[in-house]
Amino acid sequence: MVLLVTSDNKNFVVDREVADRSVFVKNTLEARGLSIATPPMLNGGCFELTSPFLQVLEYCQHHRGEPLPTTDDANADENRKRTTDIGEWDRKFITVDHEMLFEIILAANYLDIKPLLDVGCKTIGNMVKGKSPEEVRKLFDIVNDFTPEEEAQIKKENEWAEDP
Amino acid sequence: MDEHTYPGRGLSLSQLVFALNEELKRVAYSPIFTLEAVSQLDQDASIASAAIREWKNSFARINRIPTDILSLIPTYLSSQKDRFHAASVCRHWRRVLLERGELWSQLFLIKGEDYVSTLLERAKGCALEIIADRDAPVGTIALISTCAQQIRDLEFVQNHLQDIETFSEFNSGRLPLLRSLKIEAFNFHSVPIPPSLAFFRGSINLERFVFYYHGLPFLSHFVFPNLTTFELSSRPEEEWSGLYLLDFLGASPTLRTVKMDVSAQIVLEGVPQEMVVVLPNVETFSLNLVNGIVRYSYGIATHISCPRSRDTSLTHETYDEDMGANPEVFPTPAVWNTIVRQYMASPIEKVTLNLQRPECVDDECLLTFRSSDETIVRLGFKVYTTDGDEDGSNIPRATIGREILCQALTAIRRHPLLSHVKRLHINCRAAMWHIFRVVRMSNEVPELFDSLGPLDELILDGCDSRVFFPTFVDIDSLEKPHVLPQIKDLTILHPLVGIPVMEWMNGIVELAKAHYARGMPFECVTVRMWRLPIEMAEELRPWVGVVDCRED
Repeated sequence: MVLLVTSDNKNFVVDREVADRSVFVKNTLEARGLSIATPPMLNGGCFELTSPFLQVLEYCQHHRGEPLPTTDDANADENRKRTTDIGEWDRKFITVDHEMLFEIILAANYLDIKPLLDVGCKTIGNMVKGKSPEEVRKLFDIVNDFTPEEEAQIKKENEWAEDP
Repeated sequence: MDEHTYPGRGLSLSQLVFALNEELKRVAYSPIFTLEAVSQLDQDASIASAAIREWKNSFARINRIPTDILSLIPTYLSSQKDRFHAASVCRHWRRVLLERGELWSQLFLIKGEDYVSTLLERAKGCALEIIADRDAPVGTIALISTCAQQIRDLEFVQNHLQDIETFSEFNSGRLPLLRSLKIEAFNFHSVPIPPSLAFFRGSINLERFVFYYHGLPFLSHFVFPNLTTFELSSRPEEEWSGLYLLDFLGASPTLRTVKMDVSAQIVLEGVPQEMVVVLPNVETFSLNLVNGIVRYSYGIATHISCPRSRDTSLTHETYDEDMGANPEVFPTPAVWNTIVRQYMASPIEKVTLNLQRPECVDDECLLTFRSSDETIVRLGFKVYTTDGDEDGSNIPRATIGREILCQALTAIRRHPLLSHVKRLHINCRAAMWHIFRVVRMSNEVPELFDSLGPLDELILDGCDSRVFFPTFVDIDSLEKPHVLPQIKDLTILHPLVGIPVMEWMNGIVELAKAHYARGMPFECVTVRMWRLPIEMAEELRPWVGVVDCRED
């Protein structure tokens, strides 16, 4: 068993197999021979972990025992051809509000849980798919910040966007 | 949050507004107050306004995700349209997307020179995927040629072979990165003289070659020594020599996957009888011949050997009007022996026969031979109905399915390594068995069962039990007695009964009794059917180890 302590001093006792889903925790424990992972820090400040951490923990518990990715996806050229399919359980798991989704992505990134980071990014990718720029802005509370000149260039580019 | 990506950092909003006001006053009271100056001011204000909105966007929750994570998201956008749209959302997203060259590495030349030059600039040094349509402007071809060394995937869509040849010549030896080449070419007859040089010379790293063409004479002009995947789709209208194909395959010893779909007669004239092209690394081999003659289809297969193939598929498609009165459907014993020797040298563990009649029109039969090491060989045959005109066929339409099935049973029986088969699965659920004459079929079945040793499993799915079980057959009509081998598990799924259901049940019970009396009772009998006689399980139980009868 491993004791994980979040930055707001909440303790979580989890199986080593579950904790090891996080490469960050796994490496930390292996490097220091510890059974307690210190609070993760982000950008020099405490990372408000409790709420997303519970979600991340649920994800790690569900996927415990599955093989971890062996190498990073170094072949960036292949990124474009990545599948956007998300498993049934993962899809339900990641059906949360935007705020929580972004928190999970940040936590997955910090804790180095690549499969969860992939699920988060795919989810946002799927939200963007098939939408016009204006629809994406509305979805993520973004305003159009292009100058008229920039917009003219973009308009021209978007004519290329149509499928051949 | 990567604040450094936002211009205007260090200048508060009020300071910015104040600066704009000061500038407005300065211009308004200036002695050089002109329309141009106002226009300039308007432009400055527009820029400043955009900067403010950009600043505002920095507070959008999604834009507070670190840039390195945000930049992962567009990699999941497979369509170029979505990427262009994503790059048009705001300045921050645009910078993030334009930074990743691989997002812009797919180029459709038909979209013109501006498009190509813009995307080439964005793609930076990334490997390129080029799609060259027939109507692609000439200028785009020239642009692409300037970065030929970056091309990894190249696809020609509906191009004249001459144009492809020109591109090939121009870029000869300059495509070191090329891994995948797909050619969909036409206009064979306008190229009367075969090219003097090989196409795409020097593409020594090419791994995948897909060739769609309505002729094959130039196939041997493609030489790729490290090819691992070859897909061929050819629709010539005349015969062509199998030598073109054999020469090409012989020059590609590293192939691992071969998939060929040819609508033509592959004639074997000029092919030495002893010639066999060995492809030692092929794991998947598929040859589908449409509208040819069966003996040619299997004939070309006998000139190829894939000793390590895990999955071999030899299929044939034809029209009923092209079938002779005595159609050949599956290979002759000699050819069958050669195919087994050259593609699958392991004893067979399981045989599956699937007979279908999709939409009650075409007949389709697939035989699958599976060895204990999971090596698979498939033989397939499909007959298309010609516009529902039964008169067009040389043999009565209603008998085609029966003929195919008879020959399929014969092909199973003739497999030279059949003696170890343990499982036989015959699936005719999607066929229309009731149109077949029972007795004719019953004479094929004894021959098959005589060839089999004891079976662990016999599954009959959608079959007419009268054909397979001797207890139903009028013995006088059989050429030889009908005896089933020892069978451990018998499964009958959705049988076509064809007689009163109680009579059918009694026939199955009699079968179980007969096996019990021979000292080889069924260990398990499974039945799934609609309107199952409720007495069936009870009737079977004294003669069978385990009975599992349920309505389905």
